[in-house]
Amino acid sequence: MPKVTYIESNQTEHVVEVEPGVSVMLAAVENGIPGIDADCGGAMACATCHCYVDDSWLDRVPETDIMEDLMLDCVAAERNANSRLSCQIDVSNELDGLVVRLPESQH
Amino acid sequence: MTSKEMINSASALDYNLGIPENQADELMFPALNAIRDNDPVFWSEINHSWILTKHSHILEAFRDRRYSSAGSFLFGMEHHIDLDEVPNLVKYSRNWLINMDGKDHISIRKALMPVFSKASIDKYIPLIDEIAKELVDEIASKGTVDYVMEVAYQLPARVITAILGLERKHLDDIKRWSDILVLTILPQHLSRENLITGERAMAAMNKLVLSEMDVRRAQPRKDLLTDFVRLVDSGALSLDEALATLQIVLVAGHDTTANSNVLALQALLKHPEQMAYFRANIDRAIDFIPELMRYTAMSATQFRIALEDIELEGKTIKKGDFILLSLAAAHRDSATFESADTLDLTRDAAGHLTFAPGFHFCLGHYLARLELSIYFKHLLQRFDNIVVPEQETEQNGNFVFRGIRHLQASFS
Repeated sequence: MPKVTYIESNQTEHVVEVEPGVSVMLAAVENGIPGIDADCGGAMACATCHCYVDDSWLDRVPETDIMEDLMLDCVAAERNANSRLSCQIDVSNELDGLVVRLPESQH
Repeated sequence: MTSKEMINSASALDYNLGIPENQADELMFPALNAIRDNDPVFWSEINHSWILTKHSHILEAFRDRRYSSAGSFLFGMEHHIDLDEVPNLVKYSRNWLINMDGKDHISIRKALMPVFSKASIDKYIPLIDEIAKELVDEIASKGTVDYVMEVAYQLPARVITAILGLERKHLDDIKRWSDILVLTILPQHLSRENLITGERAMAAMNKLVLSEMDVRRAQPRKDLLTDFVRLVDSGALSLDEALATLQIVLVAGHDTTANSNVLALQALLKHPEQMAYFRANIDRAIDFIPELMRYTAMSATQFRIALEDIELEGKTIKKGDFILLSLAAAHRDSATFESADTLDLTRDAAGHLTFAPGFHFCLGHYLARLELSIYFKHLLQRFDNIVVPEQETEQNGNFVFRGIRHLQASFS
């Protein structure tokens, strides 16, 4: 099963096995990983599941579409080139080893 | 089971959500639980609609673009009135966030999110605190009140008026317009009379808002109307979008908060051990609001229209079909909530659906929780004894946002 590494802002690492098809957000929430709030439950409606995809993975995650791009402007932490809404990244076998960093706060 | 037996058993399950008395807890929950447990994707002949009742189905529907909000409000308005008679309703309903989907919806949502963020709303804590204390003082001076009309409705009316930056003299108008617009926009009240009344209320509200926005354009203030002036002047929102959104802010934050207040108080009084827990942990009041909202299911129903055929548990919801999402049933779904029919303030009720988690996740969710938690802290710290005598209560007849019309209560 693919594994995702979540790195909190305090550098605490969590490595989680994620069923293919489950979003990076949902896996974080279901595994109690601090740093992802996901108030809207994964519908791109709240911008509180913000993560920074490790540069080595940026070209391998699914592309951002125009609606996610609009919502990324609403994230509380700084938006960077590697910012993504984690509810929009579904884990797959090809993303085994994915690394994401979490902002200090989603609000 | 034969097809005739299936029809008969389905008919036995059917439940008229349009009858006010049917919103009472003792009738509604058993009926909806029965639908969920026997036929969770249920075609209701009485309501001319599908009714979904499983938590998992409704959670998915909120995030599935095939379940459309666009066009679901004032659906069928043209069958009740000539649209030329209601130009404001036609024009502004197109710009209601709750009536839109897709890129336009997200663009407006994106513009509004900073205004309703935790950081923005927290600035109003002192204002909300002052209003809560004022209301509690009024209760103390009266001793016995109609809790619905004199307290619960006053809280959001005063808070919204204050947050918008309007003077208290506009409070009665604000409340009246909110009451009218609720009747105008919710499906079970669609009628020529309500549409005309709504049209007039909308015109009057727009007139006040435009005038107050001009004042703030000249002299900005620290209030929501100034935020909206900035959004319009920066081009983030059109003026029509701003006016439409303010109409929804008015409606969305009024009945909902008032009804939640009343139902929460009733629930706490019926469960003294939960009331005791709340009092003993009063500083965590905001953490208890989700469970109170889940249990009381004030936000009882949402609705969508199928954008295309949807296959669900062997049934086919056809394109164009109206779909009622029963949050009340979902909140008592034991597949999601252990001991779902029990009020338990220690529960993690984060899975409640009150604010429609999904594309239309309520922008005011934090304001609602904050307002109620601040108010309940003041109420429970001030009064050791709250008594609601045995009385007949009348349902408000709103199957989307349930509530009662009056409640005599004594405080000491």
